[in-house]
Order: sequence, then structure tokens, then C-alpha cells
Amino acid sequence: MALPSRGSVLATSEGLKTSKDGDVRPLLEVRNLNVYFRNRTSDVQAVRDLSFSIAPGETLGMVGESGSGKSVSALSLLRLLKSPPAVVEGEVLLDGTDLLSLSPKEIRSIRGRDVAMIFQEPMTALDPLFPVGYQIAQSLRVHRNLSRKAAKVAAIEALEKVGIPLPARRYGEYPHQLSGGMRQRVMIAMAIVCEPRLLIADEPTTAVDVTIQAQILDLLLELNRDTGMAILLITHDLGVVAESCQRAITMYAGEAVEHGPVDDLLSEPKHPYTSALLQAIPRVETRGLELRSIPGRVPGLAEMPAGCRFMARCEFAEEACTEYQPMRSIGCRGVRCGRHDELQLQGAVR
Amino acid sequence: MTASTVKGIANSEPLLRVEDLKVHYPVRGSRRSKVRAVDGVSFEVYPGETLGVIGESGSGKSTVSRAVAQLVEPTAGKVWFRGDSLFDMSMTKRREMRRHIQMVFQDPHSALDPRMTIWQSVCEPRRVQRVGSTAERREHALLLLERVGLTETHARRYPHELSGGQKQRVSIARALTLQPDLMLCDEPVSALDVALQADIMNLFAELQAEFGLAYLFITHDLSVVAHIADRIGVMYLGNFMELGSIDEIIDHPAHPYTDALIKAQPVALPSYLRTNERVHLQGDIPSPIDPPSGCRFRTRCPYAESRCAAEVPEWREVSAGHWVACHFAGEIKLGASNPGRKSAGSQPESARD
Repeated sequence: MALPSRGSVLATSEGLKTSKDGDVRPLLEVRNLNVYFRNRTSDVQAVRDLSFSIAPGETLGMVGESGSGKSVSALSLLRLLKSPPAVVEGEVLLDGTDLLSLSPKEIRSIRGRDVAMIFQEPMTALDPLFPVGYQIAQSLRVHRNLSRKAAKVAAIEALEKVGIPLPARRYGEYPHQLSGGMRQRVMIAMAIVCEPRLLIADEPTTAVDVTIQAQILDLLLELNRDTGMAILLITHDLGVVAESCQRAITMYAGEAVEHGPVDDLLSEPKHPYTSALLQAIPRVETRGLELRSIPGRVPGLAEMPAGCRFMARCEFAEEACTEYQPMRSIGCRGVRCGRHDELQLQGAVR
Repeated sequence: MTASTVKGIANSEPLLRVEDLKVHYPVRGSRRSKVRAVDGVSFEVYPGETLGVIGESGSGKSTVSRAVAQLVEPTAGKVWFRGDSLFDMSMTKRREMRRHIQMVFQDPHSALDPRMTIWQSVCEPRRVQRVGSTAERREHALLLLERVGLTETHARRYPHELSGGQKQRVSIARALTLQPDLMLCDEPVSALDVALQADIMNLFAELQAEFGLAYLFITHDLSVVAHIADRIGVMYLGNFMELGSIDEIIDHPAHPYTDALIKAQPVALPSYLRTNERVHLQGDIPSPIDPPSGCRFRTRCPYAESRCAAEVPEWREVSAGHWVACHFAGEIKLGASNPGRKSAGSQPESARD
């Protein structure tokens, strides 16, 4: 069932090494990740052949529309998908250790300690029955073996660090007593309290207002700067990626179609989908210009074409696109398009 | 959409006039305190124009549109539609008036009846208003569905069989059936993915040109409103903070809140085209049950002084058609480092002319 790698893994990691200084060993390296959902009646592939790596202290953005496989990829990294029906194949190497082959007990000790995760909707991610401070302290009690008192002190410190006023009072409050922005801060406090080396943030600002979004992103970047915590930021918003990430991956229909430094991706996209997406975003300074529409729709999981998955909607499609497109590397970038060297694609700057 | 700003205001009576509208909701368990969802807003919508209303959650922007649609009874204030006061007319007249004001909601799934086929849903407004025969209604509905990019096959389906974008097209077709003059759009593209959002926004623009519709377009997204609106009103905690033409508001914001909204907007531009100033608002939007005295924005305003707590700022016109509620409008320097202003490739002003 798994597709042959055809060199895409190597291409990706080599590209990275040249882009980062010297031979920095990646903190997280994902090789050939394939995620299937299998049951008796159907068998669909949600993520195909995903390979990427994150260097220590790096911020990597993963952008795509809903259904592009970004959340499923993130969840599968920490083995948070229910299995069955999910089947995850490939390698997820954290400092060389494959998370996918660890025992349930071992992976539990990694979650929250080495790799933490925050989600879009803090109301559903927090337990409504426990005070928020208690929930933060739990992580320390489990991973750090702290006493109840010491854990409380550390939890209050964490609340203060994420900019919550009156942290000692907030410690005893319940999630419903906090505003959306505050809840998201509590989630972040919970995630950073054990000083993880990688934070996976799945649409952390989608449910909050734009002024709160700016605050949350500032906070994440500040933590990244101060503690050297790497961030995998998953979002549908290219603007958020532009403002907070160094590198980015564009996802489409379960595949990474392009990756590279954010500025390059924005100014000179190599994949027609990245380019189309950039033209479709309304921006304040392009007002008055018509927005580019992308004809057609994302193919359903059960009807994925064997070749380029964007082909049916791509204005540059040709015969050769019906064949499987491997990730081709160009310097520190990668693109899953056979015509990347002949196409002149429109970027964010019109 | 070019020059429509001028077109609307110059040669016509307002289609919709809202004066000092207030909508207060009672708080359970308390006789005295009230949620001041909308607390005294005034604005006008001219025929064929788009007035965008932007604000964060809890600013009262949806309540304004609900009051105009007569879905909530205002606590105080007046709403005139083509010169008639909506809340002073008989129920029969009001019902008749409703056909001219239609609404498109954020979540197209909950806006459509799951037990009705698309065809039935689109026929329903005309059935309720007793326009045409059954056969005529069906024919008309199909025409509109085709206009918004759907086919007869879609018409026979139920809402759950369509995608989010298709359902939003159905809601738009349904809103068009009674040939309204004013369409109230409450976050109509917020639940959609970027590509679909672009399609639907282009569709709104086409329909406006074709049918001469006016939109009251409510959204939290400044870049969406910048693309679709001729004028924008900025709401905060139940009040308008600023109102003016889109270019004026974005290039010369006079209210610190507008300025903060513009600066908080993430811009999908490479770093060398972005200014790096990231001064962001602190804190959350206060509770509308007990809003701050004086200027409502003062608790988060970086320029607030003692006067802001004591006096409610006057709603005044700082330049033609540009209204603002701030004591220091014009005195504080705003908008100097808007994101994307350095963008050399696109000259927003010239692009519109």
C-alpha cells in the first residue's frame, strides 16, 4: 500500500541542511509519513508521502485549506489519532528516536514533555471540571515528579509568563470563567510548562479576534526567541505564516506540494497551487482588484488521482502531470511539480 | 465597484437610515443590569453601495443587522427604510417591507432547512410572500440557482449533500428571490476556505453590479471588507468608532482602534515588504454589561487620557464623509506604518480609479 519514496525523503532533508547553517541536526525529522483510515468498507489515504524536518529553535508553518491533511499530520506525529481506523506509516524521528515505534508508555512520557501541542478550540481542549491552574500543574506532577506545592508555584509562574494578569487568582478559576484569548493563553501555559523543545500549534488563533490573534502570535514568537522552543504552526492563513514563520510547507489534498523559506514562497512560488492561493487571498492593499478564483474543488479522499492532485484545477496542467509527482528539490526549497523550472508564477507581490 | 462611493452618496436619498439604534438585552437574575449589545449607532446605506461593518466578537455588529432585519426589537432608536420608519408600521406593512431586505448568514448549513430540498428552500420566500404560481416560482428559483453557479441536479438535493461553498450559493440565491434592495450579509464568507471565499466575494460583486443591490456587509476581517465595501464602519462595544470611505479609513485612520485593527492584520507579504512595527493592543474587549465610562475604547487605548474616562467623545465629521468618535482625532498621528503600505507593486488608489 505504501508508495515507494523515490528519493523525496533525501531531497527534503538535504535541502534543509544547506539552508540551515552547516549540518545542524534536525530536532524533528518526518520521513515518508503516510496516514490511512481503514475500516471494513473503505480505505482512504489522508496524508501521502509527507517528509519534512524542523531544526532546533525553528518556526515552521504548515498551510493548507481544510481537508488538506495538516491537522491529521500533526496529530499523527504524537500518535494522537485513534487506531484503528487510523494507520500511520513512516518515521517520525525526534532526536533520532522514532516516535512511531515507541511503546504507549514511552510516547506518553514524550507528549507534553518534549513535544507539546495546542489546539484551535481551547474550550474543548481544557477540562471544564477542573480549575485551569490544576490542569497546568498536572503536567508537572506527571513529567517532573514535582510535589503539589512546587507544581502550583511553577504553574502560577507559567500563567504569568503567558501574560495572564493576577495569575495566582486565575489559578483557581475554571475554563468557563475565562475569555477566549485567556483560555488560549492557559493552553499555551500548559504546553510550555515542561519546557518542551517542540510546540505543535494547530490553528492556535483561528477562534480568536484579530487583536487577540496578534497578542497570541507575539507570545508564541517571544517564547520561541527566549527559550529556543521550535514551533510547528499549522494554519489556513498565509498571513499568519508570513508574520511568524521562517519556513513553510504548503499542503494540498494530503500532500506537501511545496516547501521553502517563507519569503521565497511568497515572492516566487514554484507550485501553481501556492501561487493560486496567494492570488485568492483578499489583502487590504490589493482592494479593488478582482480576487483570483481556483476553479473546481479538492478531490475527495476516495477519488484521489494517481498523478498531481492539483492537476484538474491547474491552468498549467499537461499530459505528464498524470504521473506521480515526487518532491523535487531546488536548493533549499522543494516542489511537487514537474513544470516548476519553466513556469513563471505570480507571487504575493502583484 | 469603481467610484461607487461617490455614486451612492451624491445622487440619492439613503436606502436605509439608522438613527441612535439601541438594543439592550436583559441579564438573567438581575433587573438592573443589561447587556448593551448596541448602544446608540447611526448610519446610512445608499442604494447600490456596500457598507462594511467591522468589529471584534461582542462588538454588536451582528445585532445591528438583526435589528435592521427586524429579527430583534430595538430598545430605542429609529430605522428608516426608503423613508418609512420600520418599527412604526403595521405588522402587515412590515411583512411586506421585509421582502426588500434579505439576509445571508455565516453558517450556510444552519441557515437551510435540512428537510427541504434546495429547490423548496429557494422557492420558500416567494411562497410566503405569495408571489407567482408554484410553477413560476420553481422556474424562477432555478434561474437564480443557475445564476449563482448551481444546476438543476443541485436543486433536487438536500443541504447535507452540498459542500459549504455550494450551500452559501444557495443562501444567496434564496436571498435574491424577492429582488431585494438591501442584502444584510452577516459574515457570509467567514466559514469558507480561501479559494471558496474568493469565489463568493466575486459573486457578491457581480450580483451587485447586475441587480443594483446594496449590501450591509458584516465581518471581522478587514481584508475582506476592504475588497468588498465602498465605506466601512468600525464598531467597538456597541458603538461606531469610525465611519468613512474605504480608502480614507485605511490610509488615514483617525481612531486608535481602527489603527490597531489595521496593524493587527497579518499580511501575506514577504518580510522585506512588511514594516516590522508590531505594536499590539493589550487586554480583552470589556463586558458590554458594564462598559467603561466615557470612551469605550479607553481601557485598551494606548493614547487614553483622563478626559477619555470623563467625557463620551462626540461623533464628529473630520473630513467629508469621514466620521469619528475620538477626542483626539487628528491630533494623534496614526496609520504611519500600516502593513503593506510599502508594497510598490500595487498602488491601491490608482487601482481603484
